Amino acid sequence: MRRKSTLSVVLIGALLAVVLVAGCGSSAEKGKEARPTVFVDDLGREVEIAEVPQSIVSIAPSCTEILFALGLGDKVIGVTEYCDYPEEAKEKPKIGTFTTPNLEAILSLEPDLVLATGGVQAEILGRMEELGLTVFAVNPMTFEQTVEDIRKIGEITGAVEEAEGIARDMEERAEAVAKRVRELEAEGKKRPRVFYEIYYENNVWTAGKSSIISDLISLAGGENIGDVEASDYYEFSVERLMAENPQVYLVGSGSMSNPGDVTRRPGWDRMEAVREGRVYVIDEDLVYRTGPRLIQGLEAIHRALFP
Amino acid sequence: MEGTVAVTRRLAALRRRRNTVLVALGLLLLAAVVAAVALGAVYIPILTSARIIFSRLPFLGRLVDATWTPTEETIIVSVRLPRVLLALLVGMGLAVAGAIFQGLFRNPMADPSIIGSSQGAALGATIAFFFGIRVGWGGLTAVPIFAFAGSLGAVLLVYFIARAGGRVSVSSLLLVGIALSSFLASIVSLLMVMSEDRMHNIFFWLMGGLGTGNWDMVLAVLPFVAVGSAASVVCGKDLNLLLLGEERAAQLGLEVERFKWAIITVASLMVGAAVSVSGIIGFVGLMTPHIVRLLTGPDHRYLIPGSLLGGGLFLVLADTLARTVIAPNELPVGIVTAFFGAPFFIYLLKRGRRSVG
Repeated sequence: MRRKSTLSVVLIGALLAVVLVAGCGSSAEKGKEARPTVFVDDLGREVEIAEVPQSIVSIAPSCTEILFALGLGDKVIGVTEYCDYPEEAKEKPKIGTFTTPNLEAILSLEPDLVLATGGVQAEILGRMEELGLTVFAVNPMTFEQTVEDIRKIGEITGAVEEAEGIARDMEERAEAVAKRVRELEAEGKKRPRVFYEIYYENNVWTAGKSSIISDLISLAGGENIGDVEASDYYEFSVERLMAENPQVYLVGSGSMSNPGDVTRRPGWDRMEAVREGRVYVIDEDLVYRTGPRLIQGLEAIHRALFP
Repeated sequence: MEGTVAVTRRLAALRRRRNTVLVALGLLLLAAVVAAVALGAVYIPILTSARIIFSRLPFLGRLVDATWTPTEETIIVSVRLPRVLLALLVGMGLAVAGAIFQGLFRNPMADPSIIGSSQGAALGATIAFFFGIRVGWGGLTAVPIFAFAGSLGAVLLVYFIARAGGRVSVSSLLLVGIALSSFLASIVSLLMVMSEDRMHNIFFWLMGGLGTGNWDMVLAVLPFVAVGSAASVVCGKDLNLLLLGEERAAQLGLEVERFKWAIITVASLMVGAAVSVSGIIGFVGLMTPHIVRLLTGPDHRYLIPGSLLGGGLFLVLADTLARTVIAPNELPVGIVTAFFGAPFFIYLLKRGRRSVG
């Protein structure tokens, strides 16, 4: 009797163990199945990332912000000089600047993954791969792509839920902006004609149709004057600006101007935006860094357009 | 009589000094290369670096045990060593080409940029960026190949425009070179303004640098610099003749036109190859031959080997500083070459005047 019960306890225990192990095994396998091992990045490169990376070097401030927002700060082992958000990012080892990341410094950290971006960095990605690094580039051109890229980074790094939470929050807040824009349009309000100043030097540099800023302005309910050019950032003549006569004037914080400077420029008081006091400074980190804070940039532009 | 003895003595002293200068430059260059491989953004003990390189030698390599990490090996073998060698080759190529141009034009201000080769390379590279051309050849991407073609094309164009009645006068070569350089530079600016999205890439390339140096680039530049330098050293005597003036040189048996053709081709091939992998690094081609000339005198048989060693030494040192001073950030190497080269040049000029007279 006693032996029997011992035996049955052992048997039940063994059975439980088998079930547990099987259960764990299947869920682990399921996790593996759910995560592909080859990812296509924004430059169209196929990158094999078989295991969830445990150590990541970020060579773009936007990527750094995404990684920290996903709760992966501990896995970040190197960032650029320009990665200043969040505060903790400043404590991480530096691997050079955004435009010239230092290959030796990156290699010495032995990262599982290097998160990069396109544009200036496109040229060095091949060189990094040659040296045995795994490189993934995110290069979103719109708000929507930014959200998708956050999801993609979540998938690559195993932070799917966190990414989904951030992405959904961004989408919901963007939808709230879109709803307000629809309501205003239903009331018969016209989209204000907006000019975005990147910096001012002889002429004004602005953002064209293929820039993220153009996308944000249109999502926020404005009409970007810079859209007349298909390119991203370019020089806009002051004469033409006067002729376009924007109703709202946005100044990027990197332009080193404040609204007062803009209104003081000789002759600019003829512009509607200046006369009506509708010149606003936009924090550039919120509109150029295609990460989780991009929604704040969208909301800031929206507030400026419809105060 | 006494005067003749004094002159003979001074000549003998100068000859001794020239050899000393060449030997000293060679030793300094060797030390600089070792230091350059030992120094970098990441600390790797000099002995480890040496052993890693030794392990890569055929046959002898088996004698050392690999006690270093794979990362250290990658850094030394795939990042630092090719970059140092590239600096060495680019510096050598630019300096020798500078020495040739200065001798040929009998103009101390002549350097690779003055007969259009640098601006030609810049235009070639800009075109490759502008049209987003991605084809490659060997390990080279489109940019260096286009830069090389542009450099060579520009020099040939300058040469043919400057040719009149089967002759190329030095002054017209210089003038055409400067005019065409300005023209090419304006096209580069135009393309830059027209392609805002690639402006950054063009801009950074034009600034020059060796940051992406790899073995393919080293192997691509090596033959040009090696053959070009060898040819230049051989031509030292003929370049000396040219210093006497073209007519005098012709009287002394030099086929002036053919020689000019040959030496310009050699020099622009070297510049094209160097610029194509490094972008535009100013100053090396202009200043190095000057500095060497102050040390060895104007005899091309010494000036060319001296420029070869001096150019390599100069750029290896400059690039090492560029990548270590504010590591892991980098300075553009052109800033370093100007920052250290110019004061040293002025110092030598002041001192040289007093002793050489």
